[in-house]
Amino acid sequence: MKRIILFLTYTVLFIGFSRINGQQLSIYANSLNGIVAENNFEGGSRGISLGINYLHPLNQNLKWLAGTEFNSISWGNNIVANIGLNYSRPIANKWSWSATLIIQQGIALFKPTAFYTWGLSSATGIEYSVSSKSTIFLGTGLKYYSCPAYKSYSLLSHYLDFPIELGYRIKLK
Amino acid sequence: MMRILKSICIFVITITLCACSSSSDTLDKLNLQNKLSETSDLILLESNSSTPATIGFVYYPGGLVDPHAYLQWQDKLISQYPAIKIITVKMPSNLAVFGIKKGIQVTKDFPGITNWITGGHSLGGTMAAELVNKYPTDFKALIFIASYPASDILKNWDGAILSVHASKDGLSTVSDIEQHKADLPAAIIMSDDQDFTLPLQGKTHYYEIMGGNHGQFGNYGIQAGDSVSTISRTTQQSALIQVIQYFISKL
Repeated sequence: MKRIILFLTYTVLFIGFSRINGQQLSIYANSLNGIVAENNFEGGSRGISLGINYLHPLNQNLKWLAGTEFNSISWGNNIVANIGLNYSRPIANKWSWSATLIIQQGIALFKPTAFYTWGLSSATGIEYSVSSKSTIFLGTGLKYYSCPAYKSYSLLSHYLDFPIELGYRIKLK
Repeated sequence: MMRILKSICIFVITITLCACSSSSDTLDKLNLQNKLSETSDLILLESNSSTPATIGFVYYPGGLVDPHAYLQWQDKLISQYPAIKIITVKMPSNLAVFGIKKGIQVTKDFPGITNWITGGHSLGGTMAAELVNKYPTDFKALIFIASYPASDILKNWDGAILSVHASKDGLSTVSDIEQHKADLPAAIIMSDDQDFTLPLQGKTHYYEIMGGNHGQFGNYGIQAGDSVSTISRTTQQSALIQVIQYFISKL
């Protein structure tokens, strides 16, 4: 048991601190295009989201990320905390393939009481190095989000969207 | 790094404080009697009866107010006047200023309706006026609820205008309504809810609900900056329903 705890502690420390030169800051915007609203197919523009993430390398290709995202969607505005993983792999000179999976927890901005909201967001796409320190990203994916309490106020409280994402990443070190 | 984190924190706090919408009463509490349906873009309320609607009302909600907050009086209006179908437009961030033209798409989505009116509460009314200015021949009438146009864009519009306001409104005050009379076609001050001067076209009829305030035109609670009403929300909304019903019936 002691060996397992030591191994896990070492692994966490190794993952967390083994690379301190690959941190990135990512700023992104999503155009949200509808697929499903509640349980019905529904296309059309659903809104936008703007976010910022800090990415920390776990190894050469994998990074964990944390950040925040603001969404302007059908029920109004919400703000969520992001936590997730990003995987990227070079495919050619200056070009990389990248995939991200994010879990979101936050609040729909209502008063007098804010409502809990959560979501799952995935994106995959292409990164292009515009300089030694920065890249741009264009991709797409799936985004599911739900505001359970809003079901009492509206006929629609959860959605599945097809976002188109444009992002900019800068190396911090 | 610390500077970036500080900027992010300021951004998050600003958004959280500034982008909050007032929530409506729950659907259970509203106890609607008519048919409600909804998409990401609009809320449709129509009569349960088989009589087809002949009038479409494109409604713009007030700024940072949940669009469901008007369903209660809209439902009662339809019960009294089943020929009307009310389409409340959902606005980006609940701010009609970001979706002025959304109303014109609504008129195309319901080709069976040939008579369209528009209007809205507060900021919604102001933006409905902008919509009419862009598409003056698509709408027969405009209804301001505690609202007025931002400029004289409709001064020469030949449609019918109804302006309903409340004497205790702390946001769209009686003085504000008075100041903007010059921006609209000929003013007719109504002595009661049926005091219309026909034809309605090319005139602005003003109706004041004594004792009402800004927030009671919807079901979203007390609004910052508003005054205290001396009548109940039910009384205020009943007065609103009556005057709109008479106005529409005379179009």
